[in-house]
Amino acid sequence: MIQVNHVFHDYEGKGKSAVSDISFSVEGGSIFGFLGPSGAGKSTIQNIMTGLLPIQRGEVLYEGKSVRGLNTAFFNQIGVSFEQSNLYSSLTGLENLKFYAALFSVPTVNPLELLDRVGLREDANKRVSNYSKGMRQRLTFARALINRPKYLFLDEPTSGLDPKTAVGIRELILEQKSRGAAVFLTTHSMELADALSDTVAFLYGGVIAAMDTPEALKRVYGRREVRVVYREDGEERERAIPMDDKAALAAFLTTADAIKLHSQEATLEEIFLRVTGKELTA
Amino acid sequence: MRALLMSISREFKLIFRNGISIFMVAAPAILAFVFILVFGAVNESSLKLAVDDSVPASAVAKLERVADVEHLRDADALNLRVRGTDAVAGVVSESGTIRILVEGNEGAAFVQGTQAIVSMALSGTSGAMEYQSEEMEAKGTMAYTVSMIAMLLMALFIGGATVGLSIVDERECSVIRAVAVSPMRLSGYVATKLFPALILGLFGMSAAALIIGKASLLPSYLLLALASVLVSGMMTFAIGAFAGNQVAAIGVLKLLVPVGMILPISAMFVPQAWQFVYYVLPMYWQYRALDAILTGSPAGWFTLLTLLISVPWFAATLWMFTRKTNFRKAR
Repeated sequence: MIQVNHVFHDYEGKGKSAVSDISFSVEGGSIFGFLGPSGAGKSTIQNIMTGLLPIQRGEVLYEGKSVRGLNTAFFNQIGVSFEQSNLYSSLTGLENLKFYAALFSVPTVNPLELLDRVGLREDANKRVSNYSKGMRQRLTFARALINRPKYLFLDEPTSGLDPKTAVGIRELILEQKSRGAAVFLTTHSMELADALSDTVAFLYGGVIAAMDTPEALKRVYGRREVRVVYREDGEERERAIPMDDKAALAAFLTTADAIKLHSQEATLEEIFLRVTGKELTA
Repeated sequence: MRALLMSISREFKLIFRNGISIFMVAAPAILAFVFILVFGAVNESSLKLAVDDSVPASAVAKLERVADVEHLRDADALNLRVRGTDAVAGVVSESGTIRILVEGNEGAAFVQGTQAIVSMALSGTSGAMEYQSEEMEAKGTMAYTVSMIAMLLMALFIGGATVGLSIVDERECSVIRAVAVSPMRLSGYVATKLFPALILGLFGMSAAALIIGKASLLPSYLLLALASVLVSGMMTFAIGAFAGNQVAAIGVLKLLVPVGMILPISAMFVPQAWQFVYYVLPMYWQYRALDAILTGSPAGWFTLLTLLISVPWFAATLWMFTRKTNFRKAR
């Protein structure tokens, strides 16, 4: 389990924190969606969690051990997929994975197998400089899985991918969750977070504005009503009926020529807008 | 160890798949060729002569006592040989008169020296006389010394600079961040950069020394290259620290070349009383060691000082690098 407790970070040391009092936990075998617009502080938190930035205040614990004292063994257990694909462009895709695999002192996944899973098997021996943006993104993602990480950090893993490939990547992420990895998913894609996350946190202006399971957030911020589309006098009409008024709903459905029924739960996008007053953009 | 070897192998792949890096690696050898074209061959301690069939066998035998003699079939072949890049004088006999042919760009000392030796050898008064051709060559001139030391300093500089450009590439495409969240320690990362820099330094030094005909001094050169590993590392991580992209790297190189090469050579023009100003620079001790090796003086102390003085400089550069790149800053 990863525990982030009351973390603050001030880049310039002038008392203006980029992130303030951030606390959450990520259980093994779960996906934590960290949502927020650019500049909200998502990368700052991920960098602190992965040891790229020192902790100034607060604590990050892995299985109860502080990230401050973690050694090489810890880095054998993490996998990080960066938003910007960062690869050796003069090496081939296969060479990139082989090199990275060699850095670990734990058993690693066969690079070709991984390339196969992300649809790059046929391009394994092409230099990365000849890869498209989406191919580089997939290779960066594959690299994060090379050591079967116990803690997986994913930053916009499906950004720039075509829908079919994105589905494949989602399946791989869910596989990591199934084998017990704690997945920290940073994204501004509400749809991706909603589909994958067990818990989501909205980060805005360096603070967590809301955090819960997607279902709970939808319950809290959604409208408990059903919108019924029905036909009357040859025209399509709509009517909203409170979910709690079961008798009224039942009576209306019995008498009306109903065409469609929609529960009026809020989307994560709407919830974010309601919580922060701002739209979530990249 | 596997990580280290893979990283070193990757480093060489990156270098040899980059046109600029390949050119940089080859630069000392190319310069060495230019050097011998400009200054003539200095790789032989014996005089080289070329003769054709016009020279009687008895005269050839006398010349062979004092020089390396090449036998050529006719006057045309001899003329062609004399025009070669190295310093070879041709000897022909016309109606019983011995004539010496030189290319014309060797310098008066060479011409006069050759004439004197050939004359003495053929007159039978020289016997197996001993001589040092260096005294008649341009070796002792300031231009020769400055050029020779500059070229050898460059051979040492190039290794560090080439690997430095590889770090810049890692920074530019942010792959250094992926390495930073891997189990590789900073010490391992440093080793994977220093080793290729050392190998390239050794290669450059060997190539330059062999091409300019200083093979006998190679062990001393290689020892200096070994002792200069942290000077190369200093250049490597200075470039890596101060350049975030290839364009900035060119700017940093423009600053480092004077520091790494011109500054130490400038000591040659500074009075002895002021030499102490240079003592804190490891590159100065590189220069002193090279100068000592070239003049045949003991260079061990200067070589050792190169290593010792470079330690704090390297540590400071590495500290700067970790600050600028956040590499393992948290640990």
